[in-house]
Amino acid sequence: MYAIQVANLKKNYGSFSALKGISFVVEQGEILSLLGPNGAGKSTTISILCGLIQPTSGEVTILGHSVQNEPMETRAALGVVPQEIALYPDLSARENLNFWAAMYGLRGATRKQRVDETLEIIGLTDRQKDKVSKFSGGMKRRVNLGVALLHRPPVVIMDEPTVGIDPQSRRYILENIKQLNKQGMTVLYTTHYMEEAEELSDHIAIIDNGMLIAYGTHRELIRLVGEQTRIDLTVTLEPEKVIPAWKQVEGISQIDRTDGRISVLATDSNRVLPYLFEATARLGGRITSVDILEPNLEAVFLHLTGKALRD
Amino acid sequence: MIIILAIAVKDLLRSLRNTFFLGMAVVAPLLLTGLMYFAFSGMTREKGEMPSLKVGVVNQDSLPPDSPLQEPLGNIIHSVFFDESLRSWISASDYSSDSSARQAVDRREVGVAVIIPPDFSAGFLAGDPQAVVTLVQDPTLSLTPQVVHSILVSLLDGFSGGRIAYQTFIDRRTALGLTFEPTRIISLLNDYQAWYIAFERDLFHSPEQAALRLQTQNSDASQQSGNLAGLMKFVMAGQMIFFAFFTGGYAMMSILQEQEEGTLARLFSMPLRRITILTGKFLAVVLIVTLQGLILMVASHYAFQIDWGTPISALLALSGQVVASTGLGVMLISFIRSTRQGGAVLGGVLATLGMLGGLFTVAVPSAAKLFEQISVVTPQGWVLATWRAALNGEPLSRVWIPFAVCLAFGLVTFGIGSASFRHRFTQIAR
Repeated sequence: MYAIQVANLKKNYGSFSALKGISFVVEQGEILSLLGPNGAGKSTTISILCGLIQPTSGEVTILGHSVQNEPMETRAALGVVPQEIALYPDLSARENLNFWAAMYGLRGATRKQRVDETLEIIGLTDRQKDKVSKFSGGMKRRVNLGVALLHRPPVVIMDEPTVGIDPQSRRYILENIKQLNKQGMTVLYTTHYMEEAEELSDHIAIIDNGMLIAYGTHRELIRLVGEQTRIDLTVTLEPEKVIPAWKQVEGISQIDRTDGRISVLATDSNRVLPYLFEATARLGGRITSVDILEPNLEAVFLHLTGKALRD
Repeated sequence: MIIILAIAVKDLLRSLRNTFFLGMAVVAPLLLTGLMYFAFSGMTREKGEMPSLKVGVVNQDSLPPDSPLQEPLGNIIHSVFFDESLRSWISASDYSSDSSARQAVDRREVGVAVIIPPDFSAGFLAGDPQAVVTLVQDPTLSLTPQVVHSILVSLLDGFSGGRIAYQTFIDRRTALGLTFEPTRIISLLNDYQAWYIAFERDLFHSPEQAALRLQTQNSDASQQSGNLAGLMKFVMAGQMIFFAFFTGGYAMMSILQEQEEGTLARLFSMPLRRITILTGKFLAVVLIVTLQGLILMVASHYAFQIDWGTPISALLALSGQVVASTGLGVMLISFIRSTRQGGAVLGGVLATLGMLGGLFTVAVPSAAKLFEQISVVTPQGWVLATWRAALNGEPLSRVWIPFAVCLAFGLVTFGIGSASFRHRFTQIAR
């Protein structure tokens, strides 16, 4: 049984199609990142999974329960970390957690214990009595995450939980997610930061314009653009002079001129670079700058859509 | 049920921590109550607090030989200041001599010294203009000397009346050539003296038992408007209703606030029915409006001695107010899109309905009739009608009718609001 199964999911707002038939699955105990630019349809997908909006068509199940037909069962199995800080700013961290724990049906000593544990997990035990309005953005994000963990859900959905926070808090949250995943929690993580998707995910689903354009592990996606490294170089000689010499170097598959620079596609940058320096020196010139671009999800997205991920 | 309570308690806590809300819901009505209290308290408080008047008395008077009086007039003056019934506001002390009394005034032991000379009765009976009672007063005081002066003038007027009556009686008998028995004259004089003392005291302490009765009547105009204390309760009821509706609307606006803060979507993503969430929020508003009503009732009771009617009538009126105000609040907020829009809409709509409902003209007799007719279209008007019945001490059967209308108003507006919210939240999108 999949933790999450999405089949041919569509959502229309009038004539606008926010989702155009998305399908993917999330295995139990894995982290799946839903990667895409703003407006791609990530939050709409999340809202349908959480039961906040009805899909136009398609089927969504959480641990085998239909979101549309068994909303209470699916919501009980989910922990949701919304994109915005969904907390009461005039209540303290503890009061917030206490209230949300009550909403999940936790009572008495169990509730107190879970609140204490969650405060420990998010590292805010010392500040538990402070009002959330007095917290930094990162601390608010941590409480926002903590709310979703109170009832120890088997599946957690996180909608861009690290937007707009400092690197230290981001690191804290990412480490928490890894830790929770190690304990068996399934995570569906949406982001437009490819580094986060690369670091966390077992699988990555790339979404754009309401469509799933790629799905697989990090390595599988990289293979879509080939595993070649691009090396951008600047030389003191005319490109016409050096390009023929460089084409003789083994391991180089392609050389192009772009804006006064020379782009080289190679399978192993470490191996070919010494030969490029040597060939240039023999011609009486020298290489003045080198940029090595390892294949990444940005390149995959660029390759698949023709636009940058953060456009 | 526990979840509903948890939502209600959370909303209540947030409201109590919201300075603006608290100001509008509790502080503003209380401030208004305070302002009205200070403005009208001088007129409504019949039992004014008065400082104790310290009076020193030197009574050296004695009866002349063959006096027709039974006791010296000085003793009568003395007894008035030491009367038991005046002890709460006149504190009198005896002094043996003129000089000791004057020193007591200088030392501010007493505010006024009343000095009755040794031959006062004799001089008074002989018509001697030198027979005077001397009043020595602290120049920094005004009230005590005036009061003591008034008492003395009143007493001396009585003595003069006795003397005139005595002299007239003798003159009339002489003119008619009639003789008279001296013992008879003494008896008549004593009768007059006794009557006058009784008259003065009774008039002062218990007017209803006085030999001569004074009756004061209100003019027709003031009778129509009722006395001030009677008006205050309706003014307070109008204010309380206005703020209750305002509080109901503002408290219900928390649902818009939650929508903007994202917490409503989070609540909707939890294993909770939407009706549970809405009921929790509604309960919070009910609690807040009830609490506010109770605070205002207690505060105004102590400030204006307002009797809010029998417990059952007051309970019905307060319940009608709570149901009608929260119901209208739910309906209005269900049509509003944001908290920013909400402030302006609530302010405008509730002020208009309040005016049409007669909340601000409740104490204006000439406007009452007109607004009574217009007010039937507003829930505020019906809540006011319930309170009017309760405050006028009308029988329960007269309180039930406007209460039932309030209840109907509340339920209908709540129904419309709930339907609107349900429609709205099934289409929620982020």
